[in-house]
Amino acid sequence: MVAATRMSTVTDARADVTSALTGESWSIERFLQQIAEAPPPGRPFASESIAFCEALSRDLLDPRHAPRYPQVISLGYWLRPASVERARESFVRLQGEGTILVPRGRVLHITPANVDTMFAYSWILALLVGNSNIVRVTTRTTDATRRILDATSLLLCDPAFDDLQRRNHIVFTGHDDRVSRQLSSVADVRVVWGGDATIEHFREFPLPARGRDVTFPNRHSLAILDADAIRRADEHELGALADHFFNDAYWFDQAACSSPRLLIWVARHADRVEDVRLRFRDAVDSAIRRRAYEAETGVVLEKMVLGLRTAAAADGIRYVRDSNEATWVELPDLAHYEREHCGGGLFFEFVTHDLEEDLVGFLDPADQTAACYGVDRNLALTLARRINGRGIDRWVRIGEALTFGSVWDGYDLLEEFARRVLVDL
Amino acid sequence: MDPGLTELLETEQYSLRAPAKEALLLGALNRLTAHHRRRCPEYARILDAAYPGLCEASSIADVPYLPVALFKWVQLKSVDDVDVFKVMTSSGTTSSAVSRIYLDVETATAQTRALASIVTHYLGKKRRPMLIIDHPGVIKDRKEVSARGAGILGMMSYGRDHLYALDADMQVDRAAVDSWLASHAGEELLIFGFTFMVWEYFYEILRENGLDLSRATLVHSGGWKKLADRAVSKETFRTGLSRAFGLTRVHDFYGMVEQVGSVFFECPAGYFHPPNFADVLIRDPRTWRPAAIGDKGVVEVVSLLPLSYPGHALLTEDIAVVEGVDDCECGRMGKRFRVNGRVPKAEIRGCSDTYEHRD
Repeated sequence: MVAATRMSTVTDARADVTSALTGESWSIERFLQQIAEAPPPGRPFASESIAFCEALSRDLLDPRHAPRYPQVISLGYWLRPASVERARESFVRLQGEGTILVPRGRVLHITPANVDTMFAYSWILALLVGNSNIVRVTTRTTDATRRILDATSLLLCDPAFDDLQRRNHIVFTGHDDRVSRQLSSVADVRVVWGGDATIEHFREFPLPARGRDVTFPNRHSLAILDADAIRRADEHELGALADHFFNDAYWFDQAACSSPRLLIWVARHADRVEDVRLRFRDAVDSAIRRRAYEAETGVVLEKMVLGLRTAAAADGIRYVRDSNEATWVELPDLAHYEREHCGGGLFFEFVTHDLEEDLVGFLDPADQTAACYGVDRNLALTLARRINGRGIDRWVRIGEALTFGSVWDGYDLLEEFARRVLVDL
Repeated sequence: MDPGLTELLETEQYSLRAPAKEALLLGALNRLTAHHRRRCPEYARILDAAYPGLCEASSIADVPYLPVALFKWVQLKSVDDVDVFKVMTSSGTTSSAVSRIYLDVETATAQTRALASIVTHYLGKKRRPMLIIDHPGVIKDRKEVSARGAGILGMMSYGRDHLYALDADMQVDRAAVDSWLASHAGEELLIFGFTFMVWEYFYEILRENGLDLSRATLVHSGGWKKLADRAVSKETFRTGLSRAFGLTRVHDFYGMVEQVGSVFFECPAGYFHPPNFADVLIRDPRTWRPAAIGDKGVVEVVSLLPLSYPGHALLTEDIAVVEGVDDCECGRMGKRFRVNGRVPKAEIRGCSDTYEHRD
């Protein structure tokens, strides 16, 4: 137990903070003392941090480990040296001429429960920039989270990562406001994932005067599907599209903010999309069967309620329950669409003959990701400029909705985790 | 009142074999679907959206059904505002939203007649002195009635000389209970209460008290979740009451505020039976087709009583199993079923629950 010799082995009577890695507990006072004694922040993209990412990647991608959780594999790829090198290059570009970027200091991450790997992305980016980190994770640990925590725990026992081990804490805390307040009081950056209610709650706890918040409120995401492009797709292409759509929608039971909930079909002129729509639904249905995805009965009932509730609000809605896993609600317009959601495979659909007009009229700052099929880069750029910040922070291909990058929700996190030093000499 | 309903109310309860009963129900349910479609625009939109081209259902399973939680979100009523006589509410357990059930005089009257035909079947026509295991505050407002209050109000007319056994702090008033019992010595009594309240606030407090309730019939309802959490089974409940008070005539009943009057009483053999004018259908949650006898599934309840709101076919969040049809040892015809609990609450985690709320 290398870790135990370096950390206090004494478990306080009051367990305000519990390490998700070693299981040790501390009172909040003892924990703060512990982190105050940690070494100062490291250099951005220090060799130790890069080596840590590589080692973690190797472990997470190790084929001998079963079962293999897709979201863990995805994280493993993101941690590979080539990917970390791309992040480093972005970071170097951000420095520009005449300024350099240095770590902000200590980052407190309040991470979400609905996307069980998100804590790792938030944490690793801050770590790569050189910060010390306190990462609060949900106590409702999934198997995938446990897998990442176990690999991390093992690596941090390696003396090569001694400094990282002392500067990075992944912890469970209770619902204790006292603990949240104290942790906030020592954070140079507080990253609050998990939506409006969490943000509102944490805003009660002041940061140091210098500290700043990076907040991720509730978001809503959509898919834009070009009907012609799907009509032209052969069976192979359509199958691949359905698999990608499945990943975007179902990996986190459609509960991720980036998972599409509304499908906007783009049709030319007065083109009807019934044929394409049915083809797409069949393909998605096959993808669901291939992955053996099953919705719990409780979710199926919630989808019925929300779908029929929507149908009751206006004329001309169609409610199609293809299976327990996929329900489609066809909306004649977006006036009654409220962005409410229960997840688990409930898709609202709208057909537009004028994408630009309809999007501009509909979008709202809550709209985050547009996962697109048959929308080219130029069109997306035109739309993004026309929308001018009123919604959609990410235009990506279907299949990439959940692919995390340092540019997220309108932030460049590499920049948020750094301070800019002017050298004008 | 629908002629089908009148006939089913006037026929001796539980006397109809399933095929004959289902034929009578089906015609009346189809008439109700058409009635609500005409009178309730929200219901009509739902039918247009989910059942395009709907004709008459050819079996009870094909009658369009609504998930019961829909009443929490959509105002579903088939009468004009001026004809709303009473609004029933229930919080349910799945969310903080409240179901609102709109009753007109006709529906309320049908409910009363229906309940009477069931209760008198079990208790006889003579009104008995009635002990209510609750406190009087639960039915303060008669225009807006909670599910618990509705249950009590519904049953009160089958008793007389009512006594509330509890005060507002859920403390049993022993002196009052003792003197009430003394004043009714030798009479047949009726006791009514919610299952967990009967156990927790009455049985557990008075079990050593030597009360003699051997002349009483207990009617209770409300589900077993709270007691199951405390490892009190149906058997423990029955045995406990029998040993402590000599109380052996005990009827659980299954019902919901969305279909008041349409209650499923437990027979002496321990099964729930649908009355003539109602039925249950167990749906396989994978296909939503009717489950085989003996297989668990999600309960759909159908009833001919709801005229003022489209609640004649409702998919509940309860799990049950039909154990047999026209074959109960108690002699009652139709289905016999047991309720096994509720569909587990959806586990999907919302975006906004980083901060884990205390239960």
